Amino acid sequence: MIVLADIATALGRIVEYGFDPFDASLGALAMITIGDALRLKIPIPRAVIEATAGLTEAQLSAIARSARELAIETRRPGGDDDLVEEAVVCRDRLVSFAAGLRRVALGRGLLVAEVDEYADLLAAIDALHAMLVASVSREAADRALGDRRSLLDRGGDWTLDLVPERVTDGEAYKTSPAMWTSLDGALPPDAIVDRYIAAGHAKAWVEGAAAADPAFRDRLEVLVATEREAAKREVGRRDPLWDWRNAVKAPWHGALSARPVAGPRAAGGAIPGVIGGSPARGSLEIAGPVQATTTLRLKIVDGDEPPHGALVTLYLAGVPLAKGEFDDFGIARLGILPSVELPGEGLPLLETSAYLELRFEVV
Amino acid sequence: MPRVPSRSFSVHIAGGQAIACLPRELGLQVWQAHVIKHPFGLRSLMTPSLARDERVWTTDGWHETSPPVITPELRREMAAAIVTLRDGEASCRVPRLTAERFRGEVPPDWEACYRCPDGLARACSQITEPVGDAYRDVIDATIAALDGDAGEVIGRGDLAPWLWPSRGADLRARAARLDGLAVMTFGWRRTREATLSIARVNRWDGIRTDFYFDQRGLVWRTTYRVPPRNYGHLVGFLLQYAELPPHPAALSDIAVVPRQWSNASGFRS
Repeated sequence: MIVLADIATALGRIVEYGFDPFDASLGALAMITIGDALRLKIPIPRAVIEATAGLTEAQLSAIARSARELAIETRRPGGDDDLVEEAVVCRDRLVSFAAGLRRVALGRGLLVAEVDEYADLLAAIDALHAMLVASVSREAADRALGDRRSLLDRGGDWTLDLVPERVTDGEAYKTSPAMWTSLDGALPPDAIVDRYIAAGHAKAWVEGAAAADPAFRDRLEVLVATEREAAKREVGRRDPLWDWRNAVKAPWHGALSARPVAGPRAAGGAIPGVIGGSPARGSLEIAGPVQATTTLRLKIVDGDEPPHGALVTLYLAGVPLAKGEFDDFGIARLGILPSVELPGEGLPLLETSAYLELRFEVV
Repeated sequence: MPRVPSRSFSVHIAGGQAIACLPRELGLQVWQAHVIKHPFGLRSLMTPSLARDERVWTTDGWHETSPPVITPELRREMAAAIVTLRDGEASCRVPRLTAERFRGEVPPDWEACYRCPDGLARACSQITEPVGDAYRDVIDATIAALDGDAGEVIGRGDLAPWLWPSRGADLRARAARLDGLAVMTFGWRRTREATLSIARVNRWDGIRTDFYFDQRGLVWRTTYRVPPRNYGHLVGFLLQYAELPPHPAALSDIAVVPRQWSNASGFRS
């Protein structure tokens, strides 16, 4: 159980420190603290935002790099309870870190995706997540989280991706590829899908799910296509190795499904950090808790830039979610429609690696 | 039978009360499992990170403590001697004991010490005695720093704000003021079988010791090391306390730190 007063005190200490002298590891600690506060719905004092507003883009990058080192230095726990604790606590701190960095970046007028090193950080977090999915049961993670468990209670429960203990009983889960195919029809979690796209991991599970579930198949197709497009644009980014269409002979639909991804993460109310869709792709940032008055910033990062003043409607599960218009910089500020009932309403944006497809239309 | 810690200690808490910390008599196999896993670096060799698949035995850094619990030379000599031991048909089953680097699949049974025959375990413990003693000395020193009047009771939430530097602080000097800090907190540890009451001590050098509570007092569970990479990482480690129970008890509001550290660091000023 995290003591709320301790977080409030720590926020005050961030202000007193003022990032002077700058230290990236302390910056990372500050982002985690801010993220913890967001997850616990503790208001972030204006003084904290002002203190972070002085951070340069280079310093934000250094902070993101420091957090990435936390992720990649985390060791695979195996059966060691102490290493399980280290790994799951680190994973959970990174959830808070991402939320904190996003809030701080927005305070400086940046989309978090514009922070150098952020993409590498996300990749490291996803890899850590995949490592935990493959090696730690949900119950073991829950036990090892200690005081940080109370953060999950407020939403953004990344442990829902982990496999329940009854499935992981025995070593077979960790060592036998055949085990992947006997998960009672459970859809692969995002981290597994990401690893599949990048390196073909858990092939039987992912491709089996694609053959069996049209909605999952649609989603997989979008993710593979998106990754392929990104690989074309970015030097050094690998083309996805795997395309389920090469392996699974089944009909597929090119259009993006507008309904939320099935599975526990969507049901748990995670909110997307990235919009996948057509004809254009965008990135979505949500500052602070999502409420009826929240303003979303939608930036077109791929496809034709819409003209100034173009109206945009954002849909979730086929229901209009928010409306707004684009400015000269291709950024639309969207007000959430009062009638909308969001999944996870009132929760801060926590999970940057969560994909929850949204369709948006430029009118 | 190894006794850990080597003698009884008594940690004073609020209201004139004290908690005893009693020696735990360990089976040789259990003790050797800890010695081989931690100071000998088997855990380091057998747990790859995302950053590197090739592991080195020094990741947990027991050769960097002050004084060092083990040195590379000592480890090399002892490991070479252990693998030659025989007890009838039995020999050491710990994989890669002599390796200093290892890349590849982790053998599922690498914690083989727990199943070691008595005779072999006894001979092994005689070889590793200097390292085992040094490891136990770390445990003794950890609890001794909080023993009796050497310990100072503070609020559980008192340390965290102090760890943040002030504006314009010299960060190097600030980090040096953490030398000698050990913070004991009380709470829960959840296992698959039960939720247990524990005390946890986190030290400035990345060494963590957990004790169970039984009817008589604190009983040693484990001591391991997470070498601090930088100031922020160290602060995160120090504040990874024993889990606070949902219904606070008397002990859950307090922590214990070394009085000597408290005075020298300016913590109370």
